[in-house]
Amino acid sequence: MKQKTGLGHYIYIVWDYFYSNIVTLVKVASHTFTKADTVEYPEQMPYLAPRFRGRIVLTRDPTGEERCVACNLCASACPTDCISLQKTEDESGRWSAEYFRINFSRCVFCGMCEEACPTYAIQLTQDFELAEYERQNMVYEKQHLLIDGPGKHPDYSFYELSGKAVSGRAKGAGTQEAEPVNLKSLLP
Amino acid sequence: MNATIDNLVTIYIDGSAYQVKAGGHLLEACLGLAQDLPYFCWHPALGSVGSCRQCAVQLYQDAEDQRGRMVMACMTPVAEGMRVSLSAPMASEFRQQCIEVTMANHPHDCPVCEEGGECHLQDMTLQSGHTQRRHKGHKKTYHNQDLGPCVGHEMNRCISCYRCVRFYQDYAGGDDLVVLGSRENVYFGRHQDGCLTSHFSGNLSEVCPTGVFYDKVVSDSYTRKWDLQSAPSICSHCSLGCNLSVGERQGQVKRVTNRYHSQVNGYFICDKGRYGFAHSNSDQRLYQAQVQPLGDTEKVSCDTLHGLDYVAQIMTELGAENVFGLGSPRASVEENFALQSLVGKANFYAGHNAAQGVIQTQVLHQLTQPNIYTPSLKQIEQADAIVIIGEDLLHTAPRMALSVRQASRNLGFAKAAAIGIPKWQDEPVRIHTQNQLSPVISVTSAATDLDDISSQCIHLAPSDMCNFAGALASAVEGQFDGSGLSAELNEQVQHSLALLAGAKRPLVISGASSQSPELIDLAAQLALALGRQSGSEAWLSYALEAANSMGLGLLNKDAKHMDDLALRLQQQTTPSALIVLQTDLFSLSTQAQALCENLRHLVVLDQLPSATSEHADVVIACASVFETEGTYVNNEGRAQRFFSVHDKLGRPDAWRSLTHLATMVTQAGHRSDTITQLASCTKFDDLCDLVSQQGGEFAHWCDVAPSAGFRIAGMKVPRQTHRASGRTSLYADENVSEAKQPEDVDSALGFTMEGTPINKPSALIPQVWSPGWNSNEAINKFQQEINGPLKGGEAGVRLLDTSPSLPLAEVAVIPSITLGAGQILAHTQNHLFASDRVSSLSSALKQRNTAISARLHPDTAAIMGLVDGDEVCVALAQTQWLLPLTVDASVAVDLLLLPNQYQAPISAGHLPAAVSLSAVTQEVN
Ligand code: SF4
Ligand code: SF4
Ligand code: SF4
Ligand code: SF4
Ligand code: FES
Repeated sequence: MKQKTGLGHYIYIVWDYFYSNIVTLVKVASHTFTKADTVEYPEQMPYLAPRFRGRIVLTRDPTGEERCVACNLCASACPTDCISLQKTEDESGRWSAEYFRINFSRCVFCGMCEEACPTYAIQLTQDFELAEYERQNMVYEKQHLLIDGPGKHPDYSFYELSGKAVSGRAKGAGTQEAEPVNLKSLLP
Repeated sequence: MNATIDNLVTIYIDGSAYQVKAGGHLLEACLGLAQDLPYFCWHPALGSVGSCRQCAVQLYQDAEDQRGRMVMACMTPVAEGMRVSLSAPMASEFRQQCIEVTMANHPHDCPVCEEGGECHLQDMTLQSGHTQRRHKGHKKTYHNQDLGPCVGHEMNRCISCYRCVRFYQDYAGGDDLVVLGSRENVYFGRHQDGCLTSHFSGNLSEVCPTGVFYDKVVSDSYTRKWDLQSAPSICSHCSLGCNLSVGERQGQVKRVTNRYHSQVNGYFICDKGRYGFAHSNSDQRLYQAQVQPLGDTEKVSCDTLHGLDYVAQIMTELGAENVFGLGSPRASVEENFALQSLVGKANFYAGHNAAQGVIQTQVLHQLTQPNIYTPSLKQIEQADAIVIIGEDLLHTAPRMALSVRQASRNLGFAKAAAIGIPKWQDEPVRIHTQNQLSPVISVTSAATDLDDISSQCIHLAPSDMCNFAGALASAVEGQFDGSGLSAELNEQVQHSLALLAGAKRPLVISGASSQSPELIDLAAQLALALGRQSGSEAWLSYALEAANSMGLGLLNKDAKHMDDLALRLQQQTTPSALIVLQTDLFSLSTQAQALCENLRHLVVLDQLPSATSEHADVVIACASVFETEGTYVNNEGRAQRFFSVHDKLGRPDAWRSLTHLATMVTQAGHRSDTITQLASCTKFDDLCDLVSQQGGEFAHWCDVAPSAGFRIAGMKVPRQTHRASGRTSLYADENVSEAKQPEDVDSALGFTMEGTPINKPSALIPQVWSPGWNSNEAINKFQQEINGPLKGGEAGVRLLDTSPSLPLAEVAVIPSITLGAGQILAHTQNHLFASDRVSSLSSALKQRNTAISARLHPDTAAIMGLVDGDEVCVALAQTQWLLPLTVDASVAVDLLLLPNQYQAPISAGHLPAAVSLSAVTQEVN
C-alpha cells in the first residue's frame, strides 16, 4: 500500500482527532436534557424482564416434599462448577440431597442448572440483591436455598412419573404405570 | 484349535475394506475396528446369544447386491469378502425401532438410577437415534427384592437381555439368581428375598447393561462416575493382583470397579475386591504419630515428623546392628525395600511365621525351575485338566476359581469346534456338549464351591493329601505300586490317573493356605510328572498368602521370618528395637508375646490399630493402599503398580516416612551404604531406581509403569474426568477461595481434569470412557481386539520368566505336630469375607460372613460324643475359643476345621496345631 505522507494527511489526522472528541462532548452534554436511564434504586425498583435470572432456589413438589433428587445433573451442567451436593436416601428409597451448596460468588446466573434439572427442583428467581461484605457469605447451603413452594411448573412431581416406589407411592401407583407384574399368573 | 483362527479375512464395511481375524463374529470385528454398533445381550466374556436384536446390520450377497438382508452381527461369523453396512437405512431404522420398543416399558428414573451417566442403555439409545417416547400406554412395573448388603435391585429397569443369569449361573456357577415368569413377564431375581451367595455377585452391576442390579455400597454414598477422582489400583486382598479402578470424592473412597487386564482379571473381580475398601474410610484409622517415652504408661500424639525423629533417636542410641525390621506381605515392594535398606539385609525379617517362610522359599524355587511355567489367570482358562491340592480357591484366590470354572468347559469347546461351532456361539456349544466337563480333580479338606464342576472330589486330612499327591505323581510316571496307601486312597489315585491320561495342557494348583511346605513340593513334582506325560511344559500355579507375598519373597530370598527373629532376639544381649511394617504379630505366631518382651522399643508403621500397635511405644500412621503408590508382585510373579487415588487425609506414605527416617539417621552420623542411598530418595521414582539397581528379578523394575515424568502432549494423565463438577463449591463451606490442586510428584497422574482421556499407557488408565461410551463397555475402545490386550500393551512385568532357578533357602525344619491324649488336629477353614482385618471393616462384607462354626466329620464327632449344633470349646495352649459345631460329612476324618476369623482367639497363623476339643455343658436355666 502507498504510504500517505503529505501535509494534507497530517491536517486530516488532527481534524479527525478533534472531531471525534467534539462529537463525544456534544453527545454527553446532550444527555443533560434527556430522561435518565438509571433509577433511584433501592427507593425505586428497576424493571425486570419476566425471564430475568437471579438468585437460585430449590423448590418443593405439590405435596411439599423436596423436589431435588440429588441426581447431580445441575452440578455437571454448571460452567463455573459452583454447585456441589451429596445424595442420600430415606428408608423408602427416596433420593434427596444430604447437602446442597451453591457458591454464588462463582455463579454467572446462566441458568444451565435449571435447564439440566429433570425435576424442576432448581430454579432461578428474579432476586439479584446478593451483595455481601464477606465473600464467604456468598456460599449458600441447602437450608438457604430451599423454599416452601413449587415455583415454576407448580404441578410437576418427579416421583409421580419415575416408576420407583417411595413413601406414599407404591410400585405401579404412579401416572401411566401398570400394576406390578404377577409372576405367578399363567394368564395370557 | 481351528486351523483358520489366526488367519485374516477381508470384509467390507460400508464400502471400506478391513482385515479382521477369521473365526470371530461381525459384532466383535466391527467393535474391534472402532466402529459404533449397539448391542446388549452379547458380552465379550459370555459370547453371543442373539436375543436382543440390537446389533442388526445389512449383509449383501456380493458387490452387485443393492438390497441385502438384515442379520444380527453378533451371530454372523466373518467370512472372506463379506460385505456389510452398518449405516444402511433398513438396519439402522430397525435398531432404532428395537430400542423404542425396549424403552416403551422403561421407567423414567435416570435421575435416581445408580447407572445414570454410565449406563449402557443410555449410550445405546443415543447411538441408535431414538429420542422420543411415542407409546402412550402404561408401563410395566415389578416389585424389587432385597438381595443383601452388596447388590441392589430395581427390576423396572430390566430390558430382558439375560446377561445377568448368563453371567451368574453359566459363567460363575451361582445357583440362586434365576429368571422367573413367562412370556414378556420375565423376572430376574431369587426365588425369595435373600443375600446373593455367589462371591462374584458384585459383577452384576457391571454386567447388567441397565440399573437393575446396582452396587448398593456405592449407592449408600453415591457419586456419579464423572465426579469420581480415580486411579488405577491393584487389589490388596489376595495374591492374584486383580486390576482395579478406584474412585474417590471428598476424601472418601467411594467405589471399586473392575479394570480390564487381559491376562489377569479380564472383566471380573470378586466381591472382596469390590466391597473391601471401607478400611480406607474407617474412623479407626491411625492419625499422625503416637509416642510413649520410656517409663511412661500412656502414648501421646504428635505429628509424624516428631514421631520419626523419636525413632531416629532410638536408632542412633541403640546402634544400627540392634535395630531390626519386619516387612509385610501386605505392604508394597517399595515399602518393604525401604525398610530393608534402613535396617540392613541382615536385620530384615519377613512378617510371616515359620511355615509360611518355608513355603515362600519353596514357591520361588519351584516356579523358577527350568521346566515349570506358572500360567496367568487367562492362561489357566486354557488348561484341559486341573488338579487342585489343598486350596479352597473360592476363599483364598477367588478369581482363580472363576478361571478354573472356565477351563472346565474346554472339553465342551473342543467337542463343539470339531463340528465347526465356534466358542462364542454360547447356546449351541452348551446344547452340543451338555454337561461334559474337562477333568478337574479337587483334593481339599472339605467340600468346596468348585465341587460341582469337579470330576473327582477327595476330602483328606493334610497328611493324606501329601500321600495322595506323592502317589499320584509317581503313578503318572508309572512308578507307583500302591504300597503304603490305603485301599481307598489307592483307588482314588487310579481314578485320577485315568482322568488325567489324555491331558494335553494339564495344570496343578496348590497354595499356601495348607501351611504345608511338603505339599508345595509335591504339587511341583506332580506338575512335572504331568508335564512329561503330556510332552509339554509343566504348568503350576500357587495361591499365596497375601497380595505381595511374592514380592516380599524376592526381597527376602533367605526366607528369614518372624520365628527366626524371635529366636535371635532371645539370644541378643544388647537392647534392641524392632520396626514393624503393617503387620499384626499376634495373628501370625504364638511367639509374638515373647518377642515383644525381648525388645526395648517396638515401632509400628500401620494404617489401622492392632494388638501389635497397642504394644508398641511408637506408632506412625501411614497411607492406605488407595493413598500411596507402590508395586505388588502377584502369584505368577507379575509386578503391577498401584497409584494413590487421593491424598486428602494427610497420611504420609510409609515409604516416604522410611526415607525421612533414613535422612534423619544419616544426619545423626550413621552412614551405611543402604541408608545413605535410601536417604537420597526424595521421590517415588528414586526409590524405584534403587529397587531396580538390585538387579536380578528386579532389573526391569522401572518398566512396571511409566515414571512420574511421563507426559501426553505435555500433560499428566488426569485422575478426574473432563466433566468433573463442583470444583468451586466442594470445599466452599470451609473457605470460599479455592485451594490450589495438590501436586503429585510421585506419579504421572495428576489430581486434575486437564489432560487427554485417550491414548493412555495401560498402567495409567484411571477409568474407561470414550465419546458416546460412558459405561465400562467403553473398554472395547481400549483393546487391540475384543478380549485382547490393551492398546498400550499389557501393564506390569512378569519377573520370574527370565529368572535363573532360585535355590531353596536353608530354613529350619518345621517340627511335625504330635497329638497328645484327647487332642485333635485343627486346621483353618478360610472364609473370604472374614479372614483378615482389612475386610473385617467393611460392613457389607461383615454381614455376608455367616459361617462361623467349627466343623467335624460325623464319625469323628460321634467318637468325641459331639452332635451338630453343640457349643464346643477349642483350646490351644493358653487360649480358648467357644463356638458352635457343625457336623459335616464332607470334612476329612479326624480333622477339626476352625474358621479363619480376624480377631478370633485362635488365629490362622497358629494352625495347623493339636488342640483339645470339648463340649460346653449347657446350663439349665
Ligand atoms: S446459573 Fe449457571 S453458573 Fe450459576 S449455578 Fe446455575 S449453571 Fe452454575
Ligand atoms: S439437577 Fe435438579 S434434581 Fe438433580 S441435583 Fe440438581 S437440583 Fe437436584
Ligand atoms: S438403566 Fe439407564 S436408562 Fe434406565 S433409568 Fe437407569 S440410567 Fe436411565
Ligand atoms: S436384569 Fe439387567 S442383565 Fe438381567 S436381563 Fe435385565 S437388563 Fe439384562
Ligand atoms: S448383541 Fe446381537 S442380538 Fe444382542
